[in-house]
Amino acid sequence: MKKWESIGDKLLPAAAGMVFLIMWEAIGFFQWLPAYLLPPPSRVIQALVNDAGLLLRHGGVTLMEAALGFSIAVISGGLLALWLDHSPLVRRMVYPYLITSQTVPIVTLAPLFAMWFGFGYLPKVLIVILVCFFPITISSMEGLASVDKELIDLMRSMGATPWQRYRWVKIPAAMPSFFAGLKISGTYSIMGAVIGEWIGGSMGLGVYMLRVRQSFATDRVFSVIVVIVLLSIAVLKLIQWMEKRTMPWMSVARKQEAEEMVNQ
Amino acid sequence: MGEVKLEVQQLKKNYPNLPTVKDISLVLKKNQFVSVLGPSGCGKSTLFSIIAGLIKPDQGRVLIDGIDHTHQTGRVSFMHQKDLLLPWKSILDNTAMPLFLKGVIAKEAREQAQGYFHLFGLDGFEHYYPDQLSGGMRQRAALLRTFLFSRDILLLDEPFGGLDAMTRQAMQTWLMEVLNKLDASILLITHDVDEAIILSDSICVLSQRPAVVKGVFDVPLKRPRHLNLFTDAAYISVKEEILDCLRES
Ligand SMILES: Nc1ncnc2c1ncn2[C@@H]1O[C@H](COP(=O)(O)OP(=O)(O)OP(=O)(O)O)[C@@H](O)[C@H]1O
Ligand SMILES: [Mg+2]
Repeated sequence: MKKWESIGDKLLPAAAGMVFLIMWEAIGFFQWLPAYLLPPPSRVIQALVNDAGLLLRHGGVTLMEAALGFSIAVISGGLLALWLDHSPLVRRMVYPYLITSQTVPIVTLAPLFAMWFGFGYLPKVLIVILVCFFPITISSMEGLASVDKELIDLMRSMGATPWQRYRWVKIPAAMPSFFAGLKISGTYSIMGAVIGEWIGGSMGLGVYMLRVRQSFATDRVFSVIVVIVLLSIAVLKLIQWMEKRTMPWMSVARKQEAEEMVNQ
Repeated sequence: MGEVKLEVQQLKKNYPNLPTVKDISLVLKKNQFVSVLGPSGCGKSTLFSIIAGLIKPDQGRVLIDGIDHTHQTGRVSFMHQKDLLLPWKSILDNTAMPLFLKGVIAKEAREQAQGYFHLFGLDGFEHYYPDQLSGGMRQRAALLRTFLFSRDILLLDEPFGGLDAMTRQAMQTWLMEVLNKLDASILLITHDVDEAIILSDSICVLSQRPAVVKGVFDVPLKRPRHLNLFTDAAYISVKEEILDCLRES
């Protein structure tokens, strides 16, 4: 019974996706809408194949900007969260700003960054850093604060140093929340890089997207979008994989729960 | 027996607007088992936090081996009502944690902990995560961790409170056996009169909050004890006395 259900869980969305693609294709096939407005999937795939080399080169640049900015954001956001958690005084001074800064639409800073830093990689990486930084910092802080107080008391009663408290209890306890932040900012990172490239530059998916748009090659615009989506999914999957590797105790507990469910 | 391990003198502790511990004194001798019995919410856990050095009392002192240890952590080990095992560490690492914290190198710490796994009924579960163990086993692992931190004085705060009646009895029997082999003085919190009598040499009864000591009762039952003590005349008379003491308030 269960097995059939789980196959169905995968089959049903796949079927719905197929129906959607066929209908989309039909719109182009019967010429209900012109291809320069809505190219059918077959044309998009063709564009993907034809431009594979170009897409790969531009995609590589975007991915590099995103990865660099994301890594810097992870390290600095994680460290800032640790510092703020450790020092209540600094936290009380800074936390309100952290929260309100999240309401600033960072992409609106992109033109400003271009003015300041030109059209090289730097402004793109900076946007990625800013976009990723806050979700990581805030979710890490929440994770660090969520630790059972009695667990900390136990560590204290055993004479643990502050560093030992972090290493043994606080940091592992913050991991689920930290990874939740990583997943959010991981998907933002590609988007941030693309938006940064829209402002101008010589390489990257955003730059390429503007170029093909100017030549009204809608199918190629779509092929860029597909690549962006695929990249974002790949980043998400990579983070999920790291999450599993980092927290083996979670999957063990979950697996056991699942087994108990089946046995009932 | 005879040598005093732990002495608590006239402790007093008020939380803001909440007089909690009014006046508690008690003595724990070497290899003695003393239970602290009291109604729920009377300040038993607070008393233990003070002894463990986590909380500073408003008045009074905590002496260990004759030396003042008031508001100093790291001397006695403290087992909470919850097992508080770290979900992200294996049972072996959880039990060896106090040794890691003291700076014992990892391999040696694990070996030391491993040496007690048979006695604590944890054989074969070294590399399991806490979530994979039953409540009774988790409690035994927490006890082993407590023991490895400080082997001479253990504070146990309702260690069996969360277990079902059958597991609880099995754990009490097991604890009695293990204690014969360990060289430890133990202070146990409980609000179960039978548990207190079966396990203890002496029982300290606390009043409602703000807590004062209402009476100290010696348990004149020979060891080794068994669960069939329940019908013993001496058992019944001690139990009567304690229940009387708990009732008058
Ligand atoms: N940090 C605290 N601040 C203020 N009040 C507290 C604090 N800790 C405990 N209390 C209060 O002090 C009283 C005694 O608490 P304590 O946990 O010591 O009781 P207990 O005898 O262990 O109770 P139980 O049998 O439920 O475990 C309770 O009313 C509790 O609400
Ligand atoms: Mg309590």
